[in-house]
Amino acid sequence: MSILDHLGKRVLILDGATGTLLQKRGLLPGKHPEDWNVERPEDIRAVHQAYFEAGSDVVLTNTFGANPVKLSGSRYALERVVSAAVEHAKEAAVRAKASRPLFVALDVGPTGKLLRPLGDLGFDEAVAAFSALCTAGAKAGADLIFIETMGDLYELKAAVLAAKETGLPVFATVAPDSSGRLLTGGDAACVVALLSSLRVDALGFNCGMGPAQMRPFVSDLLGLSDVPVIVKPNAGLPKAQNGETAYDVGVSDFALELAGFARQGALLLGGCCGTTSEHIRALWEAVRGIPPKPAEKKQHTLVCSYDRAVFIPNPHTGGAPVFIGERINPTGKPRLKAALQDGDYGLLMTEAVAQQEQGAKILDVNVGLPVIDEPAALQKAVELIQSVTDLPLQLDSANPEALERAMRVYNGKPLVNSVSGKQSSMRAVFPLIQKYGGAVIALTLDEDGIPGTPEGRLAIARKIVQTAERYGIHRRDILVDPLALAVSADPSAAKVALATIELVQRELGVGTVIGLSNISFGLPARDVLNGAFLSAALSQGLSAFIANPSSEAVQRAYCAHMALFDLDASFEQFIARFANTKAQAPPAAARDLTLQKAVERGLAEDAARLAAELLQARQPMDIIDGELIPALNAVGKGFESGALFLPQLLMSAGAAKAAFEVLRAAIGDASEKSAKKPVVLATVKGDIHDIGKNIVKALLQNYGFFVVDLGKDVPPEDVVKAAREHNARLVGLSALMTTTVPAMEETIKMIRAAGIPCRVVVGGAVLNGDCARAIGADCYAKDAMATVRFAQEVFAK
Amino acid sequence: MTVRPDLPEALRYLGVSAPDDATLRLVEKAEGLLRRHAEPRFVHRLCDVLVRAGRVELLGRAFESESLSAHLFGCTHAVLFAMTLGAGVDRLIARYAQTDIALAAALQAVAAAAVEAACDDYCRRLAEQAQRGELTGHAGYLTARFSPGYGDLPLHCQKDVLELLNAPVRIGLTATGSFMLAPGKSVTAFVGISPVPVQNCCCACQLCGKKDCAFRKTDSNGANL
Repeated sequence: MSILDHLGKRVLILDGATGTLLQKRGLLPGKHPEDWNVERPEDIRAVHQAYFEAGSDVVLTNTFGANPVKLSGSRYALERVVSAAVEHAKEAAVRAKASRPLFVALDVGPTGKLLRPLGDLGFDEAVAAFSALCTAGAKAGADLIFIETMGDLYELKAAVLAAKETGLPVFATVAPDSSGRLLTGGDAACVVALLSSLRVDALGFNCGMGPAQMRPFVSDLLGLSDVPVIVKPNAGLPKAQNGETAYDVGVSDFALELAGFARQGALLLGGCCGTTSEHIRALWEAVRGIPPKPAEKKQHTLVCSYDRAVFIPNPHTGGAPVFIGERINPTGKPRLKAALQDGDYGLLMTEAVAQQEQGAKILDVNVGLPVIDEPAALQKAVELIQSVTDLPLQLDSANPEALERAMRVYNGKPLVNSVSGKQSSMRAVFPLIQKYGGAVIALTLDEDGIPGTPEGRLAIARKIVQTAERYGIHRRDILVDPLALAVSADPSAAKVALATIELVQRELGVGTVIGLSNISFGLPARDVLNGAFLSAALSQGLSAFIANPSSEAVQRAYCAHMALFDLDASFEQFIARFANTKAQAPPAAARDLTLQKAVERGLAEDAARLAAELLQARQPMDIIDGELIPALNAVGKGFESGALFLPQLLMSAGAAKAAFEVLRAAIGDASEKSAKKPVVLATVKGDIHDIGKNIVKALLQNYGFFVVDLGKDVPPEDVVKAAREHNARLVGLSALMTTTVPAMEETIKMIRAAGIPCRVVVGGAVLNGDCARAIGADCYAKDAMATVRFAQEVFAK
Repeated sequence: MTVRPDLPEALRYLGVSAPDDATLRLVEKAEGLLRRHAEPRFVHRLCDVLVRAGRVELLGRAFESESLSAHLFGCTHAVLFAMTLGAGVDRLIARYAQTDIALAAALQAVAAAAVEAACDDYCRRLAEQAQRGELTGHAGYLTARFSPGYGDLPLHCQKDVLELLNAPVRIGLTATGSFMLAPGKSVTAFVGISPVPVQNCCCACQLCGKKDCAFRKTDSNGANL
């Protein structure tokens, strides 16, 4: 019999702490408790048996850290440890002689490592580590998998994906901190969004705090989740007592608090650190008369990143419409196109940050170009964009393989753009949503094209929603796109789209989303039309729209709607945007400012403005040679002589960059290619400190070098590959610690062995000239300017 | 726990000996951002310590190190602690490294200074508790903190320290395969408790072999400490 047959029928009791009890039995701190599965079987069985006898319906095996990453120091093979652990729990269940069914849950804890980009554990490595444990546990006969004490959403996702592969029921809990958030970010809404979308069978909180401190966060969880909720707190807060850790909540208080959670709707209760079989016995007593309160169906349309959940309104929930930034898309953007073809993702990242600053709440990410490997590119784009923004992403591709790779590595629950009413599209996309989770945009078109009437589009939307439900995808996770076509081609396009919005919401109860700018295609002053159409669509109840956040007309329409319809509390956003908008004259000092001076003083805004002004009268190349180069030279020399310091050098670099941006737009892209001077930069394998490398990159770019930035923790073979592909004449490597200098040496050896005709410059806190020579580098650069000088020397030859 | 980086210290990390107004504004902006994104967390363990020649034993583990052994000489107890400013600070720096490199460098420096200040604060409070006898049952005196990587204490004992403190689960602090702490703005350290007042060496620079380091603290005469 499966535990799922009991879930919701009564309040189920889990067990209490294992680790602390083993320590009382003599387990030394810092030692693997899992070793005891082999060495001290009777102790393990006794702990489990006591919990079953006290009332636990489910006990967790002694396998919290039994994954290959954490168990690497253990004397025993993983399979042996895990199968012994499951056997002990099963044996304890037999010995407990209970009349009720008892279940053995394979306990899965975190790896103890952080995933990339915060740490050095790859997502697939994490999945593999959890897979090894889950597969062993399933083989040994565990009844379910219980993932717990997760402090990082990304690791949680890796664990759930691995656990789901076994086909066993999966329960998952996270450890909140005192503010109800995970250690690496994300609150109850993120947890519910991710876990319910990954279709776990129960979700909740464990560890972190006592029951009273957990109360508000449990309420949040119950308010959002229609998946059964688990609460497994500590016995209060830890206190040092005679060198021992003690907890401050007594047995009966603990039981009383948890009974309160049962009345509120929690369906699985147990204890974590500091709780014993006494707590469980009292808990069993306290909840046995309480009827289970099944969770009501929840209607929230939620997507999230690792740190931030976004509620998208729908007809059931209402709420503020959501601005989705459209700019990460190469269509019609030559610069972005060229950058993607070159494998340069810097522009994508800056666009992501810029759109966030302009008020976007979700970012569309599309890298579809015929000439590139879209699956690889979309995966990389998602990883890099998530390293610089905490906004949830909308993964945009017509290529199912690209979607799958991006959805797999995405940290959170994405919005997927898109599925259509075509059978082939639904067959490709829905299984991905099923597996990786996500909300999805449904385009109202199918094999027969786009219907000309709202009723026709409704019929397709209905077909999509119903098909999705057959895959177990809730309609709250579907946003229908009524399709805004160009009014220039079809004068009724706007009317049909607006009527469809209203109809779809009324008939299907789902949210709607629109790609705004199509409506004005082929006409002048497109912004005017886009803004007016947005106002109309929002009035119809549109949930979200994909548009350019730097468009003034769109922003005005959006802000006005929010202010008029009580969606902008105290008009805060409206006032922030429109109060004091009168253009201010530059102060007197600024009026005498030249571009050269602005760059020298590091005034980025002034530099951009002055560059634009100079363009009225002068050629871009003339401005670069006459203003920017002299400014950079002056600052570079000032830094080298000690008259200027690093922050001044970097502020000036920032100002030069701002001016270059303006000038580059005027030059166009053709001339840029011909002058390319490629330099490959990387922070070596094993090293995750890359600020120095990033400083070097900024300066090299200013001096006109084309920087291929491979990032941090870069394997030697990737450096070799990039140097070869880009015909780089210079490779720059950074390493911070003595422990990663060997990786630098290995990289240099591999470059030489591959016969790549490039010079190698190295830098980093623990290096010096002697050390650099010893590991085979051509140059040791003591700072970023020294790297620039060496690069100039290399390319002058 | 508030975040209070020492701004002159941050300027020193940036290599600035005479800041102009723009630099000061930059560093202040970085400090403001840091305060919003840092979530300082500590975890510690008080334990008995056995100090032998070249070897320190605590919590069932042995650390082979002449310098740690010398540092803890005469101590009966030790506090093992770890602290981190959290993942948000790493993310903040990564973000500005793409869009505003000067601000990223300033954040890096301000965050490093904030870690130092937080550890100093923490140790000051520990010292007060120790002197009142709250840690060991009688008045005790703290040594300066001593981290893996100081002297001959190898970096790889980061792993042991984190395990003993259960730091990954308690405060989200981990080590990479090459024993770097992740999140990056973090510290682990040993602090000794001695029954008699100790002569503290004043800073980590004294214990470090890299005499040509640009960031090495010097005394008022410019001599290496």
